Parts: sequence; C-alpha cells; structure tokens
Amino acid sequence: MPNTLLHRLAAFVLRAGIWLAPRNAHEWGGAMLGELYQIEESWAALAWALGGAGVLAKKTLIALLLPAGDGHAAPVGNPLSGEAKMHKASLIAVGACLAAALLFFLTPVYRQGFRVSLAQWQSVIHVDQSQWYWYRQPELKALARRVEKDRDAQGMAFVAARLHNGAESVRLADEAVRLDPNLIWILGVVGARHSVAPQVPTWTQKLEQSDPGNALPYLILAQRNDLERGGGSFMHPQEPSIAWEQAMESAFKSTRIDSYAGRLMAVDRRVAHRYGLSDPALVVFREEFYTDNLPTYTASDSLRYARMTISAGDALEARGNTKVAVEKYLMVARFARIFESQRHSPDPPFFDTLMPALCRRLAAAYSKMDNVPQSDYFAGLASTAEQDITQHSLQWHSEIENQRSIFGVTPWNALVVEIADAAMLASAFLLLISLMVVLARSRTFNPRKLRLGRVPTVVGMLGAAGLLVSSITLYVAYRPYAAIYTRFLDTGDTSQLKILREFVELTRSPIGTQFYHFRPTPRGPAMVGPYITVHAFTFYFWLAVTVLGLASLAVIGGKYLLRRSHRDTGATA
Amino acid sequence: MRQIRLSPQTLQVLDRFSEKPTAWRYGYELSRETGLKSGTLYPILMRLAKHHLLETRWVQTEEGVPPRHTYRLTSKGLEVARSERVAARRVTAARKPATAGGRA
Repeated sequence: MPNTLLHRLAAFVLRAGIWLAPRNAHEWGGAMLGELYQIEESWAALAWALGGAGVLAKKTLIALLLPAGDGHAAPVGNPLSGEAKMHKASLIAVGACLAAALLFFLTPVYRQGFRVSLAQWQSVIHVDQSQWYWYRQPELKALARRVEKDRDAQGMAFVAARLHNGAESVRLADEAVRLDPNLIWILGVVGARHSVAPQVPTWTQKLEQSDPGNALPYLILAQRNDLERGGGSFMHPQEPSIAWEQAMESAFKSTRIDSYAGRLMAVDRRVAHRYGLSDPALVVFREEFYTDNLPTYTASDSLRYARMTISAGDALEARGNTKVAVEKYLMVARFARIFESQRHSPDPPFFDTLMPALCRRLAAAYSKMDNVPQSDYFAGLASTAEQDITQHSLQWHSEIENQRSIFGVTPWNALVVEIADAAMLASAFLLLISLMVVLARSRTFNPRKLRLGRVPTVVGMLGAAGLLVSSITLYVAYRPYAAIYTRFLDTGDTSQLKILREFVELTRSPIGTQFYHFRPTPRGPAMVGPYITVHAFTFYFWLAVTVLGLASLAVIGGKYLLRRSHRDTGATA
Repeated sequence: MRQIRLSPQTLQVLDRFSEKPTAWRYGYELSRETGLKSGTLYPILMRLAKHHLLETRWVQTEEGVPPRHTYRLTSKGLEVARSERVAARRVTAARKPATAGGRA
C-alpha cells in the first residue's frame, strides 16, 4: 500500500472500526483491512475503508443494543492484532483532547468566558433565589474585606455601590467619604439604592451643599418617603405627603440631574485594574442601569408629580391665573427635558405621552397672554411631540426586538456560550464516568494495565472530543465580549458597554429562558416575557435528571437480575 | 437454518463465483468485477459464509502487510448459485414475450 496520508487515514479508520466492533466481526474487519492494502488509489482506499467501517459500525451498534442477539461464533484464525495499538492510540487521543481543552484555561479570555457561562446554573442549582450568586455576592464581600484592610476609599465606593446589604453598603460609603471627601458623590449613588437607610436625610443635606442644583438628593428623599409610607413595599401611597411634594418640587426646580454614573464608572475602572477583577458582570452590570442610575421610583414619581403640576396649572388657568399656570407648565417641560437628556436606558422617552398635551396647553396659554411667537413655538413643539411618540415607540420596539430575537448577534452568542458551557459540563461528566468505569474494571492506575473496554473508551473519547469542541466554541463566541470589557478597562470606551451588559444579562438565565416573544398592541409590539420561566426550566431540568437517574437504576437492576437468572439456569443445567 | 435472502447484488456475487467455481477469490477483486462497494459486498459475503454457501481462508501474500481473506463457493453454495441462475433465466424467458408484445 502506498504510504500516503489518505492511505494512512483509511487504515486508521478501518482499524478503529475493527477495534470497536464486536469480537465476532473482527475476522471480517481483518478481511477488509487485508484488501485495503491492495488498493493503490488513495481516494478509492479511503472509500473502501469508510464502507468497511460502516459495516463494522452497524455490527457494533447491533451488539450494543442486542448483546446476545448476534449468535456468531468467535472467529477462528483471526490474524488481526491491532488491539494494543488502538489501546495506546485511544489513550493518546483522549489525553490530547483533554490537554488541549485544559490549555484554554491558560487564556484570560477563556477563563472570563467560562465564568460568565457558569452563571446560568445559579438558578438551577439554587432553587431558593436568595442563594443565587448575584444575591449572595460572595466575591463582592471578599473584595469588601480586602478594600477595608487596604483602607482603599475608591474600593469601598465600588463595593458600596453594588452591595445588596443596605447596612453594609451605607457603612462602607460613609467610610469611603471619611477617607476621601472627594468621594462624597458616592452618598448619592448608595442613597439611591438604599434610600430608607437612617443616614440618608443627612446625606442628602451634604449632597445639596456639595452639589447645588442637582435633583438627585430630592429624588432620593421622594423615594424614601414613598417607601416609608408604603411600608417598604413597591406600592406608592394613595395620597402623596407634603414632604414628598416638597421633595419633588425641589427636584423639578433643579437645573440638572446627575446620577454620578460617570464618576462611578471611572472608579469602577480603577478598582477593576487594581484588584484584577475579571468578571464583567461584577464591574459593568448594575441593576441601576435600567433606571438610569437614579432611584427606582424616580420615573414614576416624576410622572406623578408632573401630572399633579399640570392639573394644578389647569386649575389656576380656570381661575384666570394664566401666568402662574404657565410657570407650572414650564417647570414640567423643563424637568422633562433634563430628565430625558441624561437617560441612556433602552426604554422610550418617559415623558413622551405628556408632552403633546403639555405643549398644547402652553400654546393656548401664551395665546391668551397675546404672546404669539411663544404660542406658535409650543404649537409646533406639540405636533413634533405627537410624531415623536409613534417614532420612538417603533424605534424602541424594533431595537428591543433585534436585541431579544434569537437572530440578534448578542442573544445568539449568549445562546452559543450557554450551550457550549452545557456541552462542556456534559462532556466532563462522560469523561469522568468512563474513567471511573475503567478504573473500577482495571483496579490499577497503571496506564499500561488499564482494561479499557469498547464502551467506556468510546464514551471517554466522546467526552474528551466534546470537551475540546465546546472549549473552542466558548472561546470563539465569548472573545468579542472580552475585547469590549478590556477596551472599557484600558481606555474607558463605553460605546459598546451596552452590548456587554446585555450579553451578561442574557447569560444569567438558563438556556431557553432568554427568548422573548412579542404581542401586537396599538402602540406596536409588546414584549410579553420568556417562552418558559427560569422556575419552569429548573423544574423540568430536575425532572429530567430524576427520570434519567431512575431509568439508569432500572437498566442496571434489570441487567443484574438477568445475569443472575442466567447464572441460576446454568447452575441448574 | 433460515433461508438466505438472495438480492440482485447477492445473485451478482454468486454469478461471479460460479463462473470459476473452484477458484479462491479476493474481496477487492470481487468488488471491482461486480462494481459493489465494500459496504455492500462484505455484508453479502458475511451472509453467504454464515449460511455455509461460502468457505473462507486466510492467505499471507507478502511480508509486512496483513493477510488476505479469500473465498470460494461450497458445494451447497454452488448448488444454490446454479439453481438460482436457472430460475432467473426462466423468469426472464417468461417475461420476454409479454414485454415484446406490449411494445409492438
């Protein structure tokens, strides 16, 4: 046989087929191998080997499914002696795949991706949500201990902005400001998260003094009032209190809204560098992103107060006090503008439904006051605002649809990473099982004396190959997101941070629970949630595990009983 | 033993054997003569051997290469091959007039 690559490949394929085939097919495998050496043409040799391997694979499958079904006698005079070669080759193949897969762990990108991909199992392993990693925050707590030990004010600010534990977060924020008074803004960030903390009224006074004109302290106070009166629940009180109204009035009269997101991001980068934080979820993902780093109640508080102010303006106008009414309307319009200008969350403009009516009121009021230019200006704004509503809505839904659709790049990559992670764990499981079976059969750790057996070897090879393929897939799919994270840390580039946040969020929910479907509404398609909930996924996952476990036990038990019955029959005969 | 299923390919292989009934034939040689691929030919050879229509033996042709498996019809195999060939001819002869008539 010519010593070409294809000939060698053909011989390997056929030898592998023979090695895997049941003993009674070895003779025929040897027959096909003998003929293979007579074929000169490379492709014909490969075709011959593949055909032969197919025949042997069929025999193997039959033998696996019906162990006693093929009644052929053991071959006589089989000259094939390639078992030792295959034994060594399979061990080398498994070892090579395993080593190559483990080599990926040397790359920071892979380690980061692997860590991100594991997040999906949090909700599956811990049925109790309070035990989920991102609620327990073990890594953040460990970092808190480090930054306190180092007396690192920025580190404390970083941790305080993320901790779910209100008391601890507030304590760290206070300590950070005590060490570095320039970090006083962290009181606003933490106050927005934990607005019912006893220190918050003092904090807001400090913020008013240090950063006059910022609406944030008043918005924090308004939320605090809501929560205190609503018993800490997410229920707004029916009637707003005087204190709430005063806080909102101050917020509406402020010249700007600064949530300190920019300053926090600068601290995030420095702390991530200083402590080598490789988990992007820890650094770039904060729940406050979805509320523009403002208190959770700010949007609804603002809308409520805007409506109240417009109603008050209407009443004043009815009583003939148009000038004061106009001031009220203008206050709302000004706040709406500064509120929308600082936003970056993917939601459509919050005040868009109010704006057309508000502008029409202003146009009418200015008309009453014979201020034609202002009246025309607001009349024009009213028609533009009306068009904006439809446009913004469609734009937002289209953006959301692109982001959430399985065909969107990020959801697709998130899915690939999650599948690769699941395949990796399944492959590692197969490898472990086959290793345990081989060791149990061989009762030795000496590789030369291992009794491999066909099935454990095939399972082990599948596991090793699966591990390698899934590692490569995970690396390739996650690489762009690692690049975004590195760019953010190195250069402060936030242009693609939104994509990374979305990716991190998608990989937090298990496979199949991240796809959203849409329901048409008069304002366009509305997102109605994932196909299955995380809880449903967890239920079906453990159901499948239980069923598979019981089925395996039944098979093992059945085989044992069958063997015992054969033994008993043999003994009787 | 169960009756062997004689597919057109099996008959083709039997035909080749019955041409030189006493000669030992190689698998690759049969594959080239019949045009059957290894994936089709070997299951046929296996079935024929299992039903004792074919006898097999190993031949060491040259040093350093695996031995070759060779095949020859048994007397029972030869008998089956001949009877099947006769039967096939009868069927062909019986069909010929009808086919010819239909086309006329």
